[in-house]
Amino acid sequence: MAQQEFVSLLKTHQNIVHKVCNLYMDQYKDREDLFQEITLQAWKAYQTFRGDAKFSTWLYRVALNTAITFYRKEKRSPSIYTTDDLPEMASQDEPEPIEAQLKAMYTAIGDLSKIDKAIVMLYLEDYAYQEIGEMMGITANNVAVKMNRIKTKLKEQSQKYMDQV
Amino acid sequence: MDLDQFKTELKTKLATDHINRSDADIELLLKKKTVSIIDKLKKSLWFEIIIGFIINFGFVYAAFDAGMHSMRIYFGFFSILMYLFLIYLIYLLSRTNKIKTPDQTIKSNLASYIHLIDEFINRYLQFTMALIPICLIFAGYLGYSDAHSDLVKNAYQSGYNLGAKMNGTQFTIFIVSFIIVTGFGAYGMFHFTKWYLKKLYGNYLNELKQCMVDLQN
Repeated sequence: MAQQEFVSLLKTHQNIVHKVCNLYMDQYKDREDLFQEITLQAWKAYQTFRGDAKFSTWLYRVALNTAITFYRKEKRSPSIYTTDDLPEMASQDEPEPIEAQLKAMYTAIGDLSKIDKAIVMLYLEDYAYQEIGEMMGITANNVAVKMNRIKTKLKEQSQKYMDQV
Repeated sequence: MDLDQFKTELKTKLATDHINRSDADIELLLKKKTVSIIDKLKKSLWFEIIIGFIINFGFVYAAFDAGMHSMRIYFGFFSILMYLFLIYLIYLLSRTNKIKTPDQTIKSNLASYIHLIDEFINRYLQFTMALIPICLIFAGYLGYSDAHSDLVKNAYQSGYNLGAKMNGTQFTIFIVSFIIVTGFGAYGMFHFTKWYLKKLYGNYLNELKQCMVDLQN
């Protein structure tokens, strides 16, 4: 019964797990492995899930924790995102400037540390600094400071990628 | 170029490039085995506990059955030491089993992983390294004090006495060389164990510690 309930909830919210996998892993096989690990860890943790938080928030926490501590026996490739690996938004020979900028930004996010990636992920999902802080185990002020730092870093890095194109 | 400019597009991009899983797919995933570091640690601890007990049976047997008095003391001592270590491994296994599920804050989850792996590596290294001087000094002392046993006397008479065939200088060279080689062996063992533990868990532990630093800065 609990398993059916969990499967149904996970199926509805699987987008969260996919987003985390796409953010943390640049290879298809690694994403699949991480998806499996998050599913198993979430199922283990579900036995103690009391519904105090929304399932989506709870799943984010489990998924991010699993992604950050995920153990890979062998590294298949350096964790650098290349624009070739990214899903195409439109099939064009010459990308529009906005498209190129988006790719540069995505690449810059891929270069962030595991912790910064988690903060960006939650920020993109419109979580308040207070909520991000609660998930990360730090204060809202600390999140705000980190977020400013991350934004500056992303701006510089994505510009650098743009200049290289 | 600002992150906020692309918020919606980035969310869409992250959510693409995957196939949606059905109920059956997810149920199938639940039957698979986890590959987390905690499970790797558990497997490793179970393996060491089982192997430790098997080896210790041999030690206990030797402690009761060995012909020489020194051998009995040597194996008896090691069997006690081994049991103490096995008790510690069982304690570590129970702590690993109690580690909370990953629905706590990222900071506490990282802290519990770091603490557990750090302790495992340190105790393992300490135990392995403590065995080297105990082995050498204890074995040397026992061997020396047992030098007049019948077994050793018989060995002398059978021509196995290497010392008797050497003159004073040769014997000193032999002893000094033996100490140097053993010293290098111990030094090599120390670095090999450190390298092996680093290869197994050390690099991963450093990554986790770096995450903690990133979180706290």
